[in-house]
Amino acid sequence: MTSFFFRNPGKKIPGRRTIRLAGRLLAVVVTVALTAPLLCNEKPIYVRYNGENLFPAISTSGYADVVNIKTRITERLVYSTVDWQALNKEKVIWCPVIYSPGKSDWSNAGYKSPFGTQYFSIAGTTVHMPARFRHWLGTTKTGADVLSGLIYGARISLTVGIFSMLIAGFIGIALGIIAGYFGDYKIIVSKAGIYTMVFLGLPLSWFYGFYLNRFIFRSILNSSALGIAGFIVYMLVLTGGIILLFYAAGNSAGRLLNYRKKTFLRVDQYISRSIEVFNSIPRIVLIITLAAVARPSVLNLVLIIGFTSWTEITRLVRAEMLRVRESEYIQSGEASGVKTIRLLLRHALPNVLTPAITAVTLGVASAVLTESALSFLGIGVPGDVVTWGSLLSEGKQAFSAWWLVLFPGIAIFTTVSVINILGDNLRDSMNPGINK
Amino acid sequence: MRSYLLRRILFFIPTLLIIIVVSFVILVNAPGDPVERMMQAGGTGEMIPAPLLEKQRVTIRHQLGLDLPVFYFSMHSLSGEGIKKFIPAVSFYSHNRFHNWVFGDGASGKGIIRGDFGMSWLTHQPVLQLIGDRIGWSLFFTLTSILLAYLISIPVGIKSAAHKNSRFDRTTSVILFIFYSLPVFWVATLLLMTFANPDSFYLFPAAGVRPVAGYGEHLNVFQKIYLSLPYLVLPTICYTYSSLTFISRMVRGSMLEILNSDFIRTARAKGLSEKKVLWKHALKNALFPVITVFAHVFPAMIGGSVIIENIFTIPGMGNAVYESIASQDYPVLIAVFTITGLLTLIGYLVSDILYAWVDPRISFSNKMRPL
Repeated sequence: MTSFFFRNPGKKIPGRRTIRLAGRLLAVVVTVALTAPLLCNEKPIYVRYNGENLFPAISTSGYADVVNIKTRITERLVYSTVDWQALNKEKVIWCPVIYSPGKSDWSNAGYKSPFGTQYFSIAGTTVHMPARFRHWLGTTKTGADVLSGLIYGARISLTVGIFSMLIAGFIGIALGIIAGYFGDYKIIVSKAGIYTMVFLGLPLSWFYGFYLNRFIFRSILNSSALGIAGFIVYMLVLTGGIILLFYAAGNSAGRLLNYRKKTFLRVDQYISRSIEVFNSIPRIVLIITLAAVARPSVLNLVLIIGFTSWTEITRLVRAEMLRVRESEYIQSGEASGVKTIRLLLRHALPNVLTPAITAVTLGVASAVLTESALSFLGIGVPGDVVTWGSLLSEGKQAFSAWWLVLFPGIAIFTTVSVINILGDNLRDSMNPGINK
Repeated sequence: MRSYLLRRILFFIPTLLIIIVVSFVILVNAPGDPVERMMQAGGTGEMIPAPLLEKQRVTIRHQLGLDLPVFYFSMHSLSGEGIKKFIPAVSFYSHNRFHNWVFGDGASGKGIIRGDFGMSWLTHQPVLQLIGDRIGWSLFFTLTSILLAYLISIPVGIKSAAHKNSRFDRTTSVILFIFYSLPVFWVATLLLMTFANPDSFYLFPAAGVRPVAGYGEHLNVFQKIYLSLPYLVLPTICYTYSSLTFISRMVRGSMLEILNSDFIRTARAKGLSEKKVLWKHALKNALFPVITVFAHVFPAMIGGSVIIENIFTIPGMGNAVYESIASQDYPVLIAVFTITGLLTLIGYLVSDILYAWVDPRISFSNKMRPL
């Protein structure tokens, strides 16, 4: 991967300092997103209660049974319901931000400014907010902490951006390599096999793969992401197997009947045309429509953005593959009888990855933008999940709460522009001649 | 070239078909029962005996054709139990929902092919009429801002190409880059917060497109525009700024390419003034690919209109989308989806034909659309 920067060792890359700054900012955002549960959590990192050492923020069980030494009564502390501030604890280490995102702090409800007076209520009395517990970036209407919302928002935005682009990148690279390498005249198939496959194999594979499993599929859709992924793989293998089986059957039947006509499988044609069709549907309108109709969840949003964003990557990878296909190492690989799959994965893939990585990087920025725009509109991400977009839309309700508009906006703008700067730089260092 | 045009126009049909099928699939799979929603919206809230309610449901379902099979054919098990479950069977239906949706059922529904997108589940108003009332403002804003964006970004692009790496070039590229990364909903909210807020600069009204009391009588078009003008400034800024980057980078790139070509060198060699070279010889050739990108700008703006119209409360198509999502009134959403798809397709078609007209070397198979 480092080869981007060393491809032209003599060339001075413009704006080095900007790029380094961008890289560092991105590292900060990613770190914040990764460590969010430790950075802001209403549960303390460490508590000493009745002589027991507890770690509520990093505990996986979610509760602890504490024995009171004097009364010998066992008390069950359920971490999510305990009022940690009121709890009579001996020692405590709080997280840097002691508020969970979206949780209401009623003593500071009604848009408390970062600089205004904030209140802290403990054991029935309300006092001025101690500095340690301040809402440093203000609160929302219900008194939820803006800073913790921002920190968790980074998590959602980056999850959507990165995972959707992983899906798009996978589809895009696979299709681009296939279209570019095989082109229109490399795969020769028997007509009998193709006809059987299309008219018998496709419907039957749909019947056995999807129709008979539709109830299982529906119930699995509500389960974990891993279950869904596993089931999708199972269905793909099943349907693919049935399709191939029918191709083989048709092929042999054709031979028996002495129908041996061959035809080209014009993969490039098919893939290029489907890109055209896809590009003809306005993407953002498609995403809004799908997200509005689907059940609101982060996973659905990832899938929707991922499956609608692969065209640009395919186009770039295909163009690069057309060039790589003619190169000497691929030609000699073909001549010496290297298996096609090995040739593609081992030798072609690393050389077509550069434009794909650029497109994926820029795609992450655009996916982050799309996600926040959708959650601004209240589509896509469930209502109880705090995101940058949802914070901003709360700010739209009350203009006096400038902190609700300013900070999420800065977060989105910084993330998007930092990723864009890095992506642009990747592109420029790849083809130094263009536009510079 | 004739064969290119022919194939290009023929390609229009399957793409349109795919858009229609996708719309239909989304409509059929949309959550919620339309009958239930229509009855809720039309009901007076009084108690109706359950059997009667069920009868009403069946009647409405039948009237809307929702009891018909979904598509022309379906594949299903031969029978529900035993080994027969694993034996596929195919049934064909001449009356089905897809056919009725596209071509009409011969009675009340005329089908989307004649512009009938059905009724809104909520207001029982024909969807097309609802959109027809709304599309004017969206088109007005979109077209005005495309025009504005061209007017601003063409000179900028030309100047930065003519003086490559000058201070002007570097400054504008930074500014354009910032524009590119600024989320439009943030800019819109910030503008409202700053310029439409009684607590700060109260220069523009915050919502709507015309005075609340209406225009009043005996006003001509210009007076109406004059009255509406303050309402239009902020939305137009939001619509325009985001496409500036794309167009001016396009102009710059296209200009740079032309400026390096032989005929420009010839023009310079024969002693033409730099002004003439730039504005007469280069511009004419550089501008064409730029003008055809409106086909790419347009769908992006329509998508953006959902956000901008929501923020500024403009009674346009984007706001109709937002309202239909909020109230789960899916026929409106689907109609907008289909119509924008159609508009985009027409835009692409026109831009490709224009391109082919100017540059006849193009061929269908080796052209991959940029972007």
